[in-house]
Amino acid sequence: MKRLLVITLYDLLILAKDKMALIWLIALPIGFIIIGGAVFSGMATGEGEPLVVDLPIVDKDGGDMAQLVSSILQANPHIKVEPYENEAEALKLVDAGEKVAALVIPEGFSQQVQSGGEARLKLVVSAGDQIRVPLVRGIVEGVTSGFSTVNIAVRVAIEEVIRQGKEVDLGEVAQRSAARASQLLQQPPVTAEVTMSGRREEINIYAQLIPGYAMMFILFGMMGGAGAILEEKAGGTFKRLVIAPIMRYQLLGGKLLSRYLTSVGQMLLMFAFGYFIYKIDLGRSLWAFALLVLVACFTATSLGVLLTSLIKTARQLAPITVFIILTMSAIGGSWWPLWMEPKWLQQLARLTITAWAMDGFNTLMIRGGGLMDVMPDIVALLVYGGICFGLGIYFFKFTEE
Amino acid sequence: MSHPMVEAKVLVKHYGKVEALKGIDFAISRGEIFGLIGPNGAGKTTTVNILSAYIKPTSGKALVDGKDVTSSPYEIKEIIGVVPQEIAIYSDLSAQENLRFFGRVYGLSKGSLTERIDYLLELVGLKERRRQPTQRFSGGMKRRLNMAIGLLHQPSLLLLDEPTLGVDPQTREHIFDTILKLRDGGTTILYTTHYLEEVERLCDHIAIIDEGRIVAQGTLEELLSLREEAVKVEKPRGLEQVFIQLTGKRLRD
Repeated sequence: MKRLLVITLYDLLILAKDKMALIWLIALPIGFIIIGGAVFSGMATGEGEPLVVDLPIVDKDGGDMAQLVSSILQANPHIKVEPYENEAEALKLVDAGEKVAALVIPEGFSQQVQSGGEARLKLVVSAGDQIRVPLVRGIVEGVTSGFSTVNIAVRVAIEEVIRQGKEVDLGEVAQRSAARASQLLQQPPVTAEVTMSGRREEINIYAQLIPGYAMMFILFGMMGGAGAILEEKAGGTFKRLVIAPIMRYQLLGGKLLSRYLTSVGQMLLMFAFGYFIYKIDLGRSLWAFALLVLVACFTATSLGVLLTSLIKTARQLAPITVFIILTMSAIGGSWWPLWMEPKWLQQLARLTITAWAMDGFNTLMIRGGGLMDVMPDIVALLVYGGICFGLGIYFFKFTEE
Repeated sequence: MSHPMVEAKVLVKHYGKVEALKGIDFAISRGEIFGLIGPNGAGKTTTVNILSAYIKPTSGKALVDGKDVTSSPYEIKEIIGVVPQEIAIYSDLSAQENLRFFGRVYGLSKGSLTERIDYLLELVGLKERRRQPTQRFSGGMKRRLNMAIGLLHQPSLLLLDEPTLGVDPQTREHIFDTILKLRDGGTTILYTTHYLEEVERLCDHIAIIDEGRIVAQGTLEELLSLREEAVKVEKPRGLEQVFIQLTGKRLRD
């Protein structure tokens, strides 16, 4: 055991003296966290500019009700009304994708609303915008719903006058009831009161970013560890250690322990950075968090052993491992939450270490789960790591035979 | 103690379909320098690798101090020192740190290791540069440190695999002096090289190996007596003539 620890200790000493490796292991991940956080912070905190959509409106009616439509839309913080005279010109902009939507208020709209007739607004939307179109459509449908209420009020008033057989000016009844209904619509009698429920009302984007980048960079660290062993094999120091009077488990164990401790240190440093600088919540169970970190690092180290065993030279290592790491990070939830991916991809992602680890970190840090909630992730990571470790040791070559 | 320090008996080694050793026999007496010379790819490094228990022979026996390298690798590793052909040192560590690391891997105690490091740095002429990272060392300094690491645990048998490869004459002289001092101190040495003048100068016994076979062995005088008569007259000394006569002029790379 003493000789195993000597190998571990000197491996860590060599790593500490390698400035480029330290930049790769510490400075680069922290740099990524800062940049990534700055990019996504507006989305997470609501501090970014609100989404505003330009909406060309062609008013072919020119009446009171048409003006009311324009003013209601103009009052909405997500809509910027742009009056257009020419319908064809407005529709051409939508067709070209320059505008998300255009609203046409047809001639006679005000008259139809005020008389209780069938009134229709024409909304033309761009087929290519999946985010802003639903927003505009929802707002315009809200407006038409209001005008439907006015229209219904007018019809009811006229029907009631007719039913009572009174001789009055129906046009005046319609006009008056439309005006009153429109007025009442400014302060609708029926509203929905929306309240938020649950533990968190605000997501700290760093609670997603930091575990994501931590996982990605411990995998890159694992690649560095695998590369170091391959370089030692090529340079002859590994052979010198094989020739020394130590057991093979002491040699490989010492090397792997140093990689494992490096991964744990790297991950804890990133979480400490997030905790103190970005105030991330590590969850309600620190034991569960610590266990997840230790197990995720074990699995990453084990994958490193397997790659070291299967790859023969440092030159082969980089392209193969970079492909594996970037794929695992992309589909496994390092760069964006797993739930944003299609279902089939979420299932496929379960083949990666990253997905299990990220599910665990999300459960603890975002969903407020505890040890039992992350137990499936921990068990899956242990099984994954155990298989990689077993295969890695089985295929590991100490000599050139 | 009557048995030789090293015995190779019909030693065969195959790497897949390649026959690196085709049944070699030789013995090295205690306290002598034994030169194993041969062209590139002759089987010198494979022989060193087997004797250091790094690889196993396909067949035959290799005994070090009477113990079989295949069945007792750890006992053998305790008594042998290896100076590999490659400069196997950590370039991020200083000379002293390299020696301390390998010394601790060999299980040397802290006190004796410090003394041993001082002695070896003096022996290989690196005492003044002990704290300097070895990446700033010249090729010759690295070679000398490479040798010092092999001597850390005072091995009874030292396997030197082309230790003067690519060094300047001054470093070569220094290495020769060190080797002769070690021999005088009772260390048995296996010296592989393809520089024939080194063997002529250092070795008590010599074996010429070519394409996995030992084609001649004996003392320098015994090998020189193998020369053809015409050559003897032209060059009264010269192992090179015997070497070329026995191994031919065909390139081996």
